[in-house]
Amino acid sequence: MSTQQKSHWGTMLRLLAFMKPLNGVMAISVTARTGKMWGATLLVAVAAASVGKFIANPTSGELWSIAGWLVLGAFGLGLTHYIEQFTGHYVAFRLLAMLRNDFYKRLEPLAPAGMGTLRTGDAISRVINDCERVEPFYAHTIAPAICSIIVPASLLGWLYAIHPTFAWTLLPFMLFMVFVLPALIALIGGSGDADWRRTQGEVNAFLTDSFQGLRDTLAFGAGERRRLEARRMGEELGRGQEKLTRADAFQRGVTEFVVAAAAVAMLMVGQDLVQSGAVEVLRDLPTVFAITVTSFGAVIGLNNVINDYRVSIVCADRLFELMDQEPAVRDLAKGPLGTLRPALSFDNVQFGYQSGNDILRGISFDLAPGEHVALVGTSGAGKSTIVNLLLRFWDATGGNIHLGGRSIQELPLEELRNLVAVVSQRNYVFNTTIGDNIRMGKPDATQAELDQAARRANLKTWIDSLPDGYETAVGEMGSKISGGQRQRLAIARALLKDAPILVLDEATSNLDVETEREVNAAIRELQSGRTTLTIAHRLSTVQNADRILVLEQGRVVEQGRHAQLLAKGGVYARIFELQKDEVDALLDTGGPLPA
Amino acid sequence: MLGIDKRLIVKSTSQWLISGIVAGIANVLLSLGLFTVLGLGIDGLLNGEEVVSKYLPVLIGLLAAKLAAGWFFRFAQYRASSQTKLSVRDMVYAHALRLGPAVLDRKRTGELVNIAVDGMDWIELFYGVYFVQFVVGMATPIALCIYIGVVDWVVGLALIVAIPLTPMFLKALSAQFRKVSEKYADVNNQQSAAFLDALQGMTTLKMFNLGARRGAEMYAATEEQRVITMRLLFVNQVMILLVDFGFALGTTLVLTIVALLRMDAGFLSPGQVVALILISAEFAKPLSLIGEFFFAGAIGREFAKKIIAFLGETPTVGEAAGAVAPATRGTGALRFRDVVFSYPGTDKPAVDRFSLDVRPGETVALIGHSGSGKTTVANLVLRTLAPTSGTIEIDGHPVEKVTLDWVREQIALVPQDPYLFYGTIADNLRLARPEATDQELIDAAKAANIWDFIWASPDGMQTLVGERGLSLSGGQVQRVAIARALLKNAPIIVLDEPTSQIDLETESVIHEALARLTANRTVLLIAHRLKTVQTADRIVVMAHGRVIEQGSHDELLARNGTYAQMVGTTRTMESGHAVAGGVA
Repeated sequence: MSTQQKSHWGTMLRLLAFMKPLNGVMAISVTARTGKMWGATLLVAVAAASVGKFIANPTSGELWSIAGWLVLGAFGLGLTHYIEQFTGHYVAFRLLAMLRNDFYKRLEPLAPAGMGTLRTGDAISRVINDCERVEPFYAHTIAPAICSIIVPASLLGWLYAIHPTFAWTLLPFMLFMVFVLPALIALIGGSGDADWRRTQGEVNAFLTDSFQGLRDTLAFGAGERRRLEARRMGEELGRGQEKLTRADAFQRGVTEFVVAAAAVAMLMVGQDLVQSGAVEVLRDLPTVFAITVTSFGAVIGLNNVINDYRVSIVCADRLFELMDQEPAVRDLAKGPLGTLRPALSFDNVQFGYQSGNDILRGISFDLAPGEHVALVGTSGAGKSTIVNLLLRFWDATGGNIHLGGRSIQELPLEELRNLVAVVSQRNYVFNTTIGDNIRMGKPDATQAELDQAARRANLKTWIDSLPDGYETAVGEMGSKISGGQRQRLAIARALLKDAPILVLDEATSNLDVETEREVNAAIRELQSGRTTLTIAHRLSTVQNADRILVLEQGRVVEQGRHAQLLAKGGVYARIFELQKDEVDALLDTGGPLPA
Repeated sequence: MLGIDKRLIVKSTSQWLISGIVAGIANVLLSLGLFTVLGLGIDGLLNGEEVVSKYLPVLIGLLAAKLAAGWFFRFAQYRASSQTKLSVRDMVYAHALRLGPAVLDRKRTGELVNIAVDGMDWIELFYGVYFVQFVVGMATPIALCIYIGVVDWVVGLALIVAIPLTPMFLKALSAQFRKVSEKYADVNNQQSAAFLDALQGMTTLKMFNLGARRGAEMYAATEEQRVITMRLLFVNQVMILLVDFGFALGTTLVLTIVALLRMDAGFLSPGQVVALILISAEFAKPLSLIGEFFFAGAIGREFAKKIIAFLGETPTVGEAAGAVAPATRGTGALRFRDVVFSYPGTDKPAVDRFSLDVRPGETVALIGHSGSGKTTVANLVLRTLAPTSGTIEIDGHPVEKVTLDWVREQIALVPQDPYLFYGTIADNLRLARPEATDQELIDAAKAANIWDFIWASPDGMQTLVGERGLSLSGGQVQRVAIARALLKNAPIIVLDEPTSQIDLETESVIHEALARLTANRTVLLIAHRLKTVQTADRIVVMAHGRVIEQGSHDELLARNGTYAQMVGTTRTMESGHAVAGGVA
């Protein structure tokens, strides 16, 4: 408990330090908020005090003066509210941008190793939400907290000036609202909030599961059962909410009570003071009542602020945890290299993402410049891990990887990645235009270079047929283009990058046979003159390789040319046997079906 | 302005809503009472009376009533919220079950999860909280005016002007709010999307050494947008100033001046004027009351619209009135007669005059390109789709004349990508038969060749699987699905054959399990393997929704058509010359 408390303080201090650039605006915002709250009290207090003044001096001049003050007060109220809102938005906007930028800048060098659980879109969405939930810490927590001290304190000062007894009378009510009530609420609510959140999470997960598994649910006639189960869980959630409901209802009732009770107390004290001649009825009491009934504005709802605060801190903790990771690889090498021979060698390379669970168990192979080598094996054999090590997204735990005769650890990361182009199974297509996506291969490419890459990747005719050409938007995660187009786009990118080493990581495995054939034409264009490493589980892709390596359980178990491996009758032959009778593929080679 | 749709409110919800409104209005009236007593106190003190002892019983009563009303106001809102959540969620899921998986593809399922899971918090807030606050907020100025009018009709009359102020300003504010929040939400969504895009594509960015550059670009774009938005806000937010200013003038200023004049004329006592002034501050409360949940209101309304639209969708497959469940378990006879099916919005039928007779115990393999209609045929049998014309009979019963439950009891589905729910393996198996004994589960697991794996897991049958549990390999998931189908013990099996993604070792294990499942049952096989196809009693080759060839393996070979050509290709391949779809 205490360590957790401490880390919460640490997180808060870190957030505060992070938000320093916004302190100036925040000060204005707090001042405006204070002014607004004061304005609300002042307006009623001036009006209430005017009764005595007007009785003492019942002239139209007095009436005009009262009206004048009220107009001024009303304007002040509006103005401060305006400033508060404007600066509040400013802070929120700036802060979110700062948070995202900082998070991105810290995460980028860590990726992909540091992405950890962030492999899925869902997990990333959660991180984005976390960023958004930290924002209320500043915008909706700090200002109310400061104001909940300043405003009541200054109003108590005003009461003190009228007569100290009034201030001393209101003080306990204020203290109760600021300190005792939140503590009571926490006591009544207990772990209700956490419980509720957890159950809520379970219900949501259950529902998500139910929708996603709708087909299987229906096929087994379990729909009604599952619906009832969801309902039962929902009802349980409702019952779990009981504590929270009671805490919140209690808060509301007590707040109403305390505000009214404070006014009653003032009436009682007021009577004594009037009778002892210490205050005058019409000069002082209306003002005192007005201050009393409006003074609680700043402290009501402080509870919700505490809640916001907690959520912000938890979210910030999660973000900091991600940002504070040690990078998986260090970029220590300096300086430009000469030209390297595009040769690759893996020498007894070992690696596992988790210790004790090795994926690669001593892999060795060489690629001569211009050679085309294929890696095949069943899923989980460690094929894609090889790409991650080659690009130094992770470092091997044992053995060596050399590029052009130099250990890749001696190459600056940027240079290393410039030497290798990767076309993978699911190439990420950014939600911009086709042109922007191709240009990733070479940001300063000329139009002619772009055209040439598109032509060689068999994309040009398609792009030209689009009304917006290169400026066509590809949609979220490339949703507006087909799988084949996506792959060809990735190929165009790689062509533009013009790296001497090419890695094809399951580049055609998500495509149907017909599309695969089209994409393969573009791939051949890309391969020419480059050292190529092809990774595939579908053997049809690799039969023309100069050499085929068969991976099993983290080791190279067979290698040779297609015909040699078939003749050998080992693992490769078994996989081939399994894949050769896929009906879809056969239907294609069987020629077009009659319509 | 409210946009409350009654279809989403059930009776128990509306009772709590009304209770909340009553408690909220009671609270306002109690405040009026308190201020009146304070005014009476001032008058009494002016006359030298002992006011505290005189009014104490009333004050104590007021305090107790405030405590109770405040408590109940909140309590009722909570109850209304949780009722809404419970019933609306139920409606959505029940409707999803009626629409079925054929209508709700993956993308739509994503949207649905968004609505029914994430959106529900907003729906809850909208119906349970915002609605109550809104009604109370609108009723408050009216109650205040009536009360003031009773105290002094002139002041009351002067303040009638204030009654429309609340809705008026609310409208102005909401219009302004909408404009700003839409703009803000727009910008924010854009940036959030760009951020998401960059995070998801980070590995790709790094491969091109573009990571840092992308970050800088994003930040620059954000800054640019911020300046534009702030400029917009600078002008737009002036509305807040005007509303606050106008409100204060329209209520406190008018009331104070008019009340002072009436006091001067002898119609009001000083204490009464003070009470009225304190009351005037209450006029501004509804605005903040409603404003507090304005955001929730706007979002909740959007979600409510989506839910209503979803609930309005008509299921494609309905149960005819008076559908009966035949008393007997079917023998597994399946018959298609000139079945035609077109997806809505397309003119080319996905299944075209499809006729097929499957005898009990027969295995029929459907082969064809993706898009040839074989999956649609499976969906038609499962009645997740209904034919546009033609009939499908199970055991001689036209499927539209019997209950959906009965149809689905006759069929066990083994899909290519079975879905495992989060829960134990036992839970997932019992999906097929909730009352199955442990021994039956074990027997099914053994027959499906998955028992060894289950037995080796530390938690055995209680091992958690599914999205948040242990992730099983493709082959293991397949075998759990086979065990599930075995447990169901239905006369008909619809089987979408697993493809080559399965590991080498599991291949034969799965085939063995499948052989046990399909023995003595009618099987509709969506085949992907020539080897499996050859074992079928009958092979149906489909293209463009039609049957182009059918017969046994030998018959089709003799016919020398498409099928024979396919088999021929494999034979050539075996001799090592040509390769299907290979790189030339």
